[in-house]
Amino acid sequence: MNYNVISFKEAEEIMKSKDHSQFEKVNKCKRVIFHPRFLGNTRKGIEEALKSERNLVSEEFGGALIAYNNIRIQQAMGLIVDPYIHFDIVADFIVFNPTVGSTLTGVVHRVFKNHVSLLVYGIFNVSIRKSELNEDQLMEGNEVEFKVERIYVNNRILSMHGSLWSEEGSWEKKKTKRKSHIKFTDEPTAEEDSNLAVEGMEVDADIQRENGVTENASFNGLDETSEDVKMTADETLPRKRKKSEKKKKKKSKKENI
Amino acid sequence: MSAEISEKFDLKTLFHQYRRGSHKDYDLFLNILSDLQTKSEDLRVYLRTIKDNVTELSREFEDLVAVLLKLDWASRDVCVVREYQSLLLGLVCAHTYYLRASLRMLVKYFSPPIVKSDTEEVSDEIRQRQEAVFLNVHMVLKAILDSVPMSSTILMPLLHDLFPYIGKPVFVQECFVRNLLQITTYLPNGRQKILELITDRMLKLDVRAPRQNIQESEGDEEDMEEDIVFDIDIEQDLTRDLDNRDGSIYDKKCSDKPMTHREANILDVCMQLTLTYISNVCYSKGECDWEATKKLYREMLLVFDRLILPTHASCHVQFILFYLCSTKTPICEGFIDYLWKKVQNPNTESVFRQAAVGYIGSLLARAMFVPVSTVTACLDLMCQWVHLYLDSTSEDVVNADVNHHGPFYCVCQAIFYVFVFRSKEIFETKKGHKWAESLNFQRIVTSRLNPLRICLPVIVKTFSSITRMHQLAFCDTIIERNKRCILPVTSNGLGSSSVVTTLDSYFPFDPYLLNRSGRFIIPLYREYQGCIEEDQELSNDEDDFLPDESPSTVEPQSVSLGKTPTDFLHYGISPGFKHVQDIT
Repeated sequence: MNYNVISFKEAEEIMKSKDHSQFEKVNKCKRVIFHPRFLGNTRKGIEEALKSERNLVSEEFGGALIAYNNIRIQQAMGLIVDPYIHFDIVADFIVFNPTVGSTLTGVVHRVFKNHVSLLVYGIFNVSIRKSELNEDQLMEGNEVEFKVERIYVNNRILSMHGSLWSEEGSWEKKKTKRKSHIKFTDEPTAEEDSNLAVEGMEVDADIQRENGVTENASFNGLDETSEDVKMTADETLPRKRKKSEKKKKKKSKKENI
Repeated sequence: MSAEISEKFDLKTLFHQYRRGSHKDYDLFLNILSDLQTKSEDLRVYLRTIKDNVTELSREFEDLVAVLLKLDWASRDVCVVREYQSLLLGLVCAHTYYLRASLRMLVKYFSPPIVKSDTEEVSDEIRQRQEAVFLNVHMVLKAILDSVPMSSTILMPLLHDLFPYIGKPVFVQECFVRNLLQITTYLPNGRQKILELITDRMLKLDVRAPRQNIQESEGDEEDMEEDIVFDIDIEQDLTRDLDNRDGSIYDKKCSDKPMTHREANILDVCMQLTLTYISNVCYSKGECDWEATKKLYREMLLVFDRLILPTHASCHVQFILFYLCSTKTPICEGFIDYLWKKVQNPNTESVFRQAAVGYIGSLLARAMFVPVSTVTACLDLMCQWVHLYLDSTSEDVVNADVNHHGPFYCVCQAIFYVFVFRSKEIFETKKGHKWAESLNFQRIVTSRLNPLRICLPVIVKTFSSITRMHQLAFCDTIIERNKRCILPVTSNGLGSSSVVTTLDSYFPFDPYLLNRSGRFIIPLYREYQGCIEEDQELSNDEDDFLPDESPSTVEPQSVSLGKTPTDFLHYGISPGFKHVQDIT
């Protein structure tokens, strides 16, 4: 169809080149179901069945199937469950499995008044709120790094809401993270730095979410609060967050797919 | 109203209030939106404000989105339409979980609402209005497909589900098909599936409109006209009648009149749309666009393989392939090649092999664009195959068994059929006669498998007369012997005695009967030209008793090699049904 199809090799290259591709390689056993039309032609039936699953989210993978390779059929004969034919196969799958708080790169595709729409790998839609600060970065065609705020799956189509990292400076992830860490905290820096990068990201999310109007839905909070956070950073906020962090972390994990 | 707007229309406060729990203003707003009386200007302002706040429209405000999607926007003023389009695009990009609902709403617009009954013609005004609506919908659909790449996976099943029911009026189905073809212009990868959808619907209509029924309905009309004509002056009318029959049937076939038969009418419209689409794709500025044609041909071939070939007794849909083959010779040859591979492959089901050979024979015989060289090449192939078959079947085959040797008989019949149609041209070529001799018809007709017994009598008779004339084979004694042999032939096994004496023949490219789409096909179509000698001798006796029969001279519009002018059905008759003329 219209969408981008990523071949297995390309997907592997993406995995190697980027450290936040959110691709996972899995070797899995999968039950494939195909139409009796392919009775004499098992290979083709399996390929057609897998092709139709591409870029769609499935529960067994916990994400969107991107590419597959090395298909090995496990049985000599399939099972007919009227009228479809079931086969077990083992193959290498590459799955797109983003988590809330992870980083991704997308290309700005459409610009609206208050938000922009990005495409990740030319397949998945991401929506990011605009503000005066990030407007110039969010021009059509720009490649942008963003953080995943929420993930939606509807009709097996994955879409996300994201937000940009801090608005200033260059885009090297580690630098900005450290910067923000330094900005927010004086005392807890050591402790925060010792945490894993992932947790660090979630911290930001939590802080920003806290300052948002509500927990739910709107990104209202995000853009507005980034400035607030900077201002109040040096105050008591970070410390308070430490305790509620853990609670919030649990909450945010639940909010995944 | 406008005072209200400037005063307090602040969507954000509305949302804020809603979240706090006070739903009153919010519900009021929803009511205003869904009210049909709301003025365009007000509506425009509302839509614009919503558009500016589209990021707020998360799951929380689902009802607002539902009301928006129920709005009848496409038929409103331009300003409202534009606002709505950008609003919808923004909504789908910001909150992709509304995608399916939005697409569903858009696809529903593709079938126009039924206002009048089926029998009345749809006025131009309504057509124009609907055109504007469709244009608006296509614009936004194209933008969505562009912005959300995965939307095509949702769109296809929706198109399938929301296809109007076959019993709906012509206009509804016509509009939907036209819109589907329009979609292919901006979604080229979806063309395969869309063509499948349309062909599937056309086949459903086709099998409900068999040749006989169409001719009866159209014939009724003719008769009615004839009656009026007869009143005036009998003598003159007889001659005029004949003239009408000879000349203007050709014109009648290409008229713009809607057909009387309901399904045939809808089929006619759909075929016209499809053929126009194909000609637009294949021919740009009068020249043939080779790459585009090839691509379209490949997609149509898949459709043919999946849908058209397995359909029994479809009369008109296959002419799409006929038309495609006329664009360029390589396509025609490719098509014949594909069919012939099917015939040769012993793993293909027997019915498909027989149908495929029927297609080859009919195409070679009826197409004006197939040069004699192709015909001779194909006849060479087929005869070669037949001779090999004869070599490999043992010589002590006792009876002519259609069930076992079905494909063989079909190939023989195809050879005879093509030869009958194109014999004149073949003999006009250099060394035509010698080549025809090299085909060795004598061996085929005198084999123990006895194809002359199984093939259709009309074809057998005409073939034998031609071969007798050119001394290629002597079939008369065999035919006489076959006539005398009336013992039923039973097939082994399967218990019951199935008496099969003739082949279940299928000639897919029998004359095209639809009015409006006919103008694509008629110029490419060859009618039978030649006399049926045997029948003339017989019909001389019957002239006294059947004054309705026109003189048995060449009747260019005669469908098959039928004996009576209205005996178009000869080929389609199931085996065993005998005509009065047969028992002589």
